[in-house]
Amino acid sequence: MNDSQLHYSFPPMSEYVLGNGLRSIWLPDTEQPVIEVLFQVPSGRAHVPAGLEGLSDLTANLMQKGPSSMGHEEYIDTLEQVGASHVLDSGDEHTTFGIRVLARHADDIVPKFWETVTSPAFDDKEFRRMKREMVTALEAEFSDASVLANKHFQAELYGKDHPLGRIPCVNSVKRARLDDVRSFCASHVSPANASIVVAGDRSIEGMEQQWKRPFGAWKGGTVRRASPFPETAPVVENRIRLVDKPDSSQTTLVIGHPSVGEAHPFRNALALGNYVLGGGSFRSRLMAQMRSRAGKTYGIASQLVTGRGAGTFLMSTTTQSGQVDEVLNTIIEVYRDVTENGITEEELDNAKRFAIGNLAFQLEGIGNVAEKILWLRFYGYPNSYIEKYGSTIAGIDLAAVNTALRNALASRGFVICAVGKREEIAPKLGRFGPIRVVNLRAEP
Amino acid sequence: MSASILDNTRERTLSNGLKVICCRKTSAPVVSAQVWYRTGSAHERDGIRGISHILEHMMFRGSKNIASEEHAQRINDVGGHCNAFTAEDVCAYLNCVPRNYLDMVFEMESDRMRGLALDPATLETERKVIIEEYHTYMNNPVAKAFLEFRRDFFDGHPYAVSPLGQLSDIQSVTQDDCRDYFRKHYHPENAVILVVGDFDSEEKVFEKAGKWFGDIDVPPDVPPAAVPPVPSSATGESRRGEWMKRIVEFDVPMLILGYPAPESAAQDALPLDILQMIISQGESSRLHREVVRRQSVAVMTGGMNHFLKLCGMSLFFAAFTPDINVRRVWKALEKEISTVRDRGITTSEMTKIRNTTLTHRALEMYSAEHICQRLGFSETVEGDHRLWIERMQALEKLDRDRVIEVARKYWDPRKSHALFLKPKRTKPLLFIMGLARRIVPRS
Repeated sequence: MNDSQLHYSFPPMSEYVLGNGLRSIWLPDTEQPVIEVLFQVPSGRAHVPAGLEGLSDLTANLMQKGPSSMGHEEYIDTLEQVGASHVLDSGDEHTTFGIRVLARHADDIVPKFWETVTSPAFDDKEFRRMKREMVTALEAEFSDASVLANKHFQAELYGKDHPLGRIPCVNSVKRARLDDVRSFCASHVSPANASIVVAGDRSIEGMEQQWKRPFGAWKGGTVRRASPFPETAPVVENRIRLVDKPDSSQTTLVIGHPSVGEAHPFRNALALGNYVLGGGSFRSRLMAQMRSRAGKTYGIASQLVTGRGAGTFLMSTTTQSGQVDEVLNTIIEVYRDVTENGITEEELDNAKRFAIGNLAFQLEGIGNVAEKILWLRFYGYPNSYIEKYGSTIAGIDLAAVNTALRNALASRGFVICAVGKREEIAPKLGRFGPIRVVNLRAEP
Repeated sequence: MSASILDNTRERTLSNGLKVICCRKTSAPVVSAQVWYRTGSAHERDGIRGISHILEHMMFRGSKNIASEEHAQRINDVGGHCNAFTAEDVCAYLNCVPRNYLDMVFEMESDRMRGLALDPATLETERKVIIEEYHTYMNNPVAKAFLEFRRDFFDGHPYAVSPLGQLSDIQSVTQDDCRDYFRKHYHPENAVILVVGDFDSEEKVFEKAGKWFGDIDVPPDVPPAAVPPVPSSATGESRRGEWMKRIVEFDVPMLILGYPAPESAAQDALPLDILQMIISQGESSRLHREVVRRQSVAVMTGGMNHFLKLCGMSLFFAAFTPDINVRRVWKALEKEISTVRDRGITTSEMTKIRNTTLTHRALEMYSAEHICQRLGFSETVEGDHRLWIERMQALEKLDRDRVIEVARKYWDPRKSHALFLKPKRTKPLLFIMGLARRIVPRS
């Protein structure tokens, strides 16, 4: 790595909080004649009431169906006529709405987008249509082993009582009423907790002149402060959820346990350790062992999913059902070796070089820069977090990584989710722990 | 914007026939460097179907000076990423690295162009990996059904087989088969290098290319790769509105409707893309507006053109609830298609498509990798990298009569081919829900 990679400078921008509490960021860039607006609230799937899983997705989608002042078809026609398109990123703890439009049409389109986000029509006909679409999409997921495995893993790990265990399913979407949507929107979408970035082909002054006033005029609802998520108990003994998929010749496995959140002091050290374990593609030990040496899978990876409070660590792969026990055993052995014995100086060096060099790709194009700024604000980081990221990573030593792996990752037990043919894999998985078999179409 | 890419793009052919195309783009300190070989599953014969894909994997498993998987590891070590794909007409090897690592990419790409290790034990391990990949694909009921659709659509032609190949051939391809196929197809005359991003100058790129690739010889006595001509099944001449039904482990009934399409480089390809966007793209598209919203016959609709070097497919699909008869869905799709064919499109629709295409193009331009990939496809599949750029200019001049002419030429119901995916298990709840919605319409 070279010195220039250790320091990054964001392009010039202007940022402040408007009188109504809305954090506004103006980010000019002339590379392409496009304007991108991203609006984010710190609410998502984990903030919906129990029994109404999927409500945040329904709400987010309906909020892009047009403002109360115009019908859906008129709104969509107006947008699509000039080539504008929506962006929607719906997560456990956040929802991001956006619009991308040619700069020459931005003055017409951005106000309409703003109006639909802040004053959505919530039309009953559109609501029922949206529910039908979501139900069909959820039904289609029954054939996707990877999606099923991840949903059932998260449900098994957290349970229905924990906000992170609230997984959208067919029945919960059917249960939702339009009043639930209105109520969720009113209590979670407000200038007091939202941020907006306007990025693209216009000067800061030009952006402010056009949009600062309407952004500042929005009143919004009374935001309901989300309570911190309850602590999740460590997994001390393996527990297995087997999703019976009788037509599959392969088994998809997701194995993991609760982990640390984004703000945890070990976070960056753990990310480097995870690169060596399974995050680093062909540099990772899991890939080397399971694919390169044994040919037992097309792909295997591990990841740290870090939220504001809690986090999740998971490893996932797909393999022939006949060898699922052998594969699971090896995954656990590799995990134990990395978390108990640590990684080497050479492996750490590779992980650091990847983390530092990769930042340039994460920030290619103004849209990626805008997303990164929203990510920083969501976690409460200043820009210097990214600007100094290279030197922060470079300064992490082997002892810190191995301590983090031992203290913050090593788990005695795992939650294991296997999606495959029950009669073939149940006998092979029994030695890893008690198995609960669920139907393919069961609610997660 | 497109013009500036054209202005910035330079090309040079080395003395061994290897073409190098580069485009300087300095907005981010990264470089995308790709090598595209003009070989894919269409060049395979019976007995070795899937060998291009096997070689794609083996390209990462070592060459004379690069150890097995060292290529991917070294790219990762500088923060970059690499990948590859095998298609019907091409195999492409994609690398993205920080700006000062172009030499490293050229060193490794040139080493594998000179020859592969093809170690027998490694080949056996990688064969297992590929078989896992094959099964993952085949365990997806929609993907599996679509394979049957293409087998029928391109009946009698290598395009009928997916680039993944035939399982029996994947299991039996030998080291000698791989060596022979590599020798015939992986040489400088059959390849193109593309570099887009933050490099010093075009001259420097050509100089580096000459240094690393300039002395790689084309093997003697290698005949030009040949692909059989397009079969009558793909032009639609041998079919009469045929359809097939497959019972699948999928909960949502689906209909896929395909029409013949021209080769990717054809003049008709652009108007056909415009038509496809008008019919199926976005919530203001004709299918969504009419079939989903007004008639409530389907829950989702979509479409795409799949253009290949010799011919293509123009595809439409609809997902619907079990209470709807598939023939009704089929009729509704065909009605929208025939309306375009008979009555044409509006000026407003043309404007919408121009704006949509302009926006997509602008967003693509942020990424060096996307630009590289577009140039690579146009150069190797369509014969000239400029086509991708010039198509945007052609869009400005395209008139509605020309678009309608193309609709009439290709979207002929007598030439269509349909596939109905019928769920093995009809969900009573879904059925009742759909039926109730139809008996007591609320919208």
